[in-house]
Amino acid sequence: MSRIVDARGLNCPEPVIMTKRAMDEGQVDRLVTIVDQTAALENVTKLAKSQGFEVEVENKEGDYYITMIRSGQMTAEAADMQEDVAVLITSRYLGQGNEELGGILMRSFLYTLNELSGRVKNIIFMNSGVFLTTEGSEVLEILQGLSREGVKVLSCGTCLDFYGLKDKLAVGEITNMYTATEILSRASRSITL
Amino acid sequence: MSSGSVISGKDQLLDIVYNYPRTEAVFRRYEEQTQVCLLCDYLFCTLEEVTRIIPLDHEELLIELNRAAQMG
Repeated sequence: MSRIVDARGLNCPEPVIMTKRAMDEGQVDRLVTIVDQTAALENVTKLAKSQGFEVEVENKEGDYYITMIRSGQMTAEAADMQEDVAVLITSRYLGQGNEELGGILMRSFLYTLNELSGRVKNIIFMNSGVFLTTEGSEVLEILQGLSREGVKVLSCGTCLDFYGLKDKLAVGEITNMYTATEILSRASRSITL
Repeated sequence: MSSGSVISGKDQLLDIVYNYPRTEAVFRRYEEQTQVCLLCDYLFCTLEEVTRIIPLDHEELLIELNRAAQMG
């Protein structure tokens, strides 16, 4: 049985309570709760996972549609696609030591990210990592390819300013620490280089 | 937990407001005092956990919550 809970315009904990009530009424295999606040999104998602539901979230014009399906009923492929991997790159070189080697390794890593097709949602570049997203970068083509596939390529604005690269951004968009932190904290997995 | 109490420090905030809707008003008062959205940010914490993180009078809060819960 499917249910829809429209909790738009309501403050916490009302969306969570309405969702829990729907779950407790029994025999609900698929439940969609609609909210318009990120706190409600996080709390409803947390509730759903604690009750054994698998969760899928869609953002439609500022409203969040949280689809909750009892575990085991979501297909393996859909479950795989739900993974939200965020990558944080803090240097233009991968690892410490030889910079030439570090550049080669970074290029190889970014190329291999393509192998995680569909799961990487955001790549954030900070500190000297912003040299990878600006003119002259040897990995621009790879990053532009990822961007075309829907991966968000984000460069720290403070870092671009520091290195005098703000007008040389060649792929993706500028971000700030708040957004970066939010992305990393909400990702199902994060990778930091 | 004293006799007659239905809410203890080990109860989660969500379960408290879910089972005893009148307790929401108590939490709202404490939110005004502390400037912390308890029912946004600590919904899945127990009362004991919340009062370890936020400077609240645990005993006073329990008394008020139980009073609200028993109002029906």
